[in-house]
Amino acid sequence: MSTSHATTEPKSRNREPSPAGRALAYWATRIQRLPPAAEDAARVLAHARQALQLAARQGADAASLARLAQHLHGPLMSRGLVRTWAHDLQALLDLRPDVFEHTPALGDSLLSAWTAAGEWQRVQEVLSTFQHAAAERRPLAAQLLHRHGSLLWMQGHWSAALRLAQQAWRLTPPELPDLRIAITGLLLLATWRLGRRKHARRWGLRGLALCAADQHLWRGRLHHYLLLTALPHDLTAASRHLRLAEAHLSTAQAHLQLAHLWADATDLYLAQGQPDRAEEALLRAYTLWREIEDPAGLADYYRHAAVVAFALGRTRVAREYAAHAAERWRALGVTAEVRRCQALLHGPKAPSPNAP
Amino acid sequence: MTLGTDHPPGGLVTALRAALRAHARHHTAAWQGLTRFLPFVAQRAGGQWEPVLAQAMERLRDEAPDEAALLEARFWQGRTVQALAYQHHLAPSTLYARQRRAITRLAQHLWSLEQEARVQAQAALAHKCRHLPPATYTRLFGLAPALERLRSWLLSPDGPRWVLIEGLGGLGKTTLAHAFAHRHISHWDDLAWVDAHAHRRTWESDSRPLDTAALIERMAWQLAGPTLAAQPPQHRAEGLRRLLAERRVLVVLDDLLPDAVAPVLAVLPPPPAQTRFLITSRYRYPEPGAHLPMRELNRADSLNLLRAEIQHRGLPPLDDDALAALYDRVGGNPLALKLTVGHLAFLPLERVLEGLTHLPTGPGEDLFAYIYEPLVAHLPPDARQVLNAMPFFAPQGATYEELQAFTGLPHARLDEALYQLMHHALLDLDPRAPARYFIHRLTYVYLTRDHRAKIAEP
Repeated sequence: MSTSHATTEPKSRNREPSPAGRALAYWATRIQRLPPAAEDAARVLAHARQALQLAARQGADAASLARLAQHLHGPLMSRGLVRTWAHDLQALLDLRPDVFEHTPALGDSLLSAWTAAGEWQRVQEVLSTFQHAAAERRPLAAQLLHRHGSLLWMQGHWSAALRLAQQAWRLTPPELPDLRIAITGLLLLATWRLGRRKHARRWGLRGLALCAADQHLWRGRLHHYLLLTALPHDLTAASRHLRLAEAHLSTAQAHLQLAHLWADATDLYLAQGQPDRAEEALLRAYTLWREIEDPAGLADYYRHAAVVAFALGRTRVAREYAAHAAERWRALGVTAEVRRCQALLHGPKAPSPNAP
Repeated sequence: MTLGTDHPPGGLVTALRAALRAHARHHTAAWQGLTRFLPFVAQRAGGQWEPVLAQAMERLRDEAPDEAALLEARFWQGRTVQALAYQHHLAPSTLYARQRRAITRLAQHLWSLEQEARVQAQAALAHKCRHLPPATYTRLFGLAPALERLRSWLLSPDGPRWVLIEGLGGLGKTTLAHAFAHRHISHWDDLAWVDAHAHRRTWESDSRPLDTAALIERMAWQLAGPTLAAQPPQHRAEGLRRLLAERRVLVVLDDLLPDAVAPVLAVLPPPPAQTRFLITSRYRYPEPGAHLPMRELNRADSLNLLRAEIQHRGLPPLDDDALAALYDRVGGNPLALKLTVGHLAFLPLERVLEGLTHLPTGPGEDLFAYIYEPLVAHLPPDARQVLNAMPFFAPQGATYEELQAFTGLPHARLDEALYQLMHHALLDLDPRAPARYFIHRLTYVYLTRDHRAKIAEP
């Protein structure tokens, strides 16, 4: 007879978890065991979101809610459900701020979701919500500086973005390699936009050196950014970065990043004289952006489409694309991008899309 | 040559023999008798039977050239049995036997062509239905007149270009649109089904209405894919209008807000285009047009629904007076009627009627709470546990395995709990793989309201 028999007995029948507690534990475990390419992943994620929302309303404990939210963040973001997830997390913050006090990293998750959804006004609001809390915690302050820098970069304020990224870099201890990698990405993008290509490449290589072999998402992202720095002069390097970025992002199932990569790959294909391939890559990006209703992604699509249409000699439709892209960027308040679209409309010929 | 797995119906061989004889006598409508047995081939041939027979003869020639030659000589060249028997040094009876065999084999080839045409037709139908959402009904009650009116409006070349189905939520607007689209799918070249709200897939999330540009983009996406949808908005709208003018398309716009109707109708091409828009809305659209208001079920249809529900739940049948008494107290709301039948699973009719005499007259939800409470109170503990778990699943429902893992109930107890919940009309099963158990939205609202505490698990 096994001696461990007694230990398998339930300790107390009176301490059965509530349905909300059972649900949070069940879905957290289920998501952890969810294979990346599971057929019913969308259904499982919808169930888990439902459980999170209802359990929050029914007063479930903050630790369990935070645990499920943390497990949900990665799968939902990589599947491109950024807007949906941003709304869920925002609702959780509005209803249960104690969950975010329990796990401050969720604040960063919310910021990244709103940023990816192109809702920059929301990013600004959430940043100010967390600023006070961040003052006392160095890593959180660095994280928020990085998020703020990303926001400014997307709004076209590249110098300011660079300043914040540099501050964040100084604040980030080496024990947080993931945050350091993310900051190198922003440093790369900001220096590239400011025309300092050598600096940008150096930050990219430094970021890659910090990445572990299995950090496919970040490896893919950095290769994507390095592709931008290689264009339009070094097409061989650009092709290599495209290939590597695509491989890493596919492995990481990072659909959202893949869409951005495909859109930026059009510039390489055009430079290589392959407009058909550029068009095809762009349609793949559109297919994903429409699915997730990403306003910034769609605005970016229309600008790229204008460049490709100009290259193919379809001037009338190219002008419509450019005008619509300008309209969309204007609605998002990104004047730098509006200017790029207007340059397409009014310039003597289509300028290089990656001209900083 | 591989023949279809099914054997041709016996009547096909007889009809083919008669058709071959008529053809040998140069009758113009010789092959028409085959239509009854080969409907899919007939539809594809469009009245041109010669190519079909030529194809079947070609297959017969590959398999049995002597038999093909015999049929050709007899029914295409008009030679007699005696002449052929003399030529081949055979007795006429032997030749007749060979002819019978050849006709049977030719019928088999025609039957395999029918099977192929059926598969193609089904694939084409499935392609047309690719955007049609799954049906949420198994039987329809009280929709026949509305379906007939839609048919007369939308299938007529001179009928209105758009029809608006109006009515409160839960009265079956989407069901009506779905039933019409499904029933008459063959009339259209293609179908687009656009839900005018972007849903976030959980009970707790709100859905928000799509703007006009997004609605047009979704139509373009469904009918022509990214090549049209990814165009700039003006180009896209023009392209969609052209496409709708060239083809006969049914576009269903489900749950549209009145403000969006006019801008969306701007892409609907004028006559002679045969494209039609079928719109459902919870609100009245003030402009004149083909409006179809939805109302509660009438007395006769309500009684039919009650009868069907009672039979479905394996309860003893009720006479017409008892059914009428139930209808008089509950009215013609399909869900309320269905839940009332759930009461009959554990209470005698007299008690159910007595309880329904005091129905609240306030907002609709109170009526449902009043109906739910006795249902839930009579549930055994395991069934209550499963019911309490259901709100933690998204509206699309949970699989058996998920419920088992979630509740920790052994199979036998879970089976019994599911039986009880379905018997009381509190749970439904969507049998499409993977089969899922789901609750109605009102059940969710009831379970997650304040009085939920009353149904705590023991």
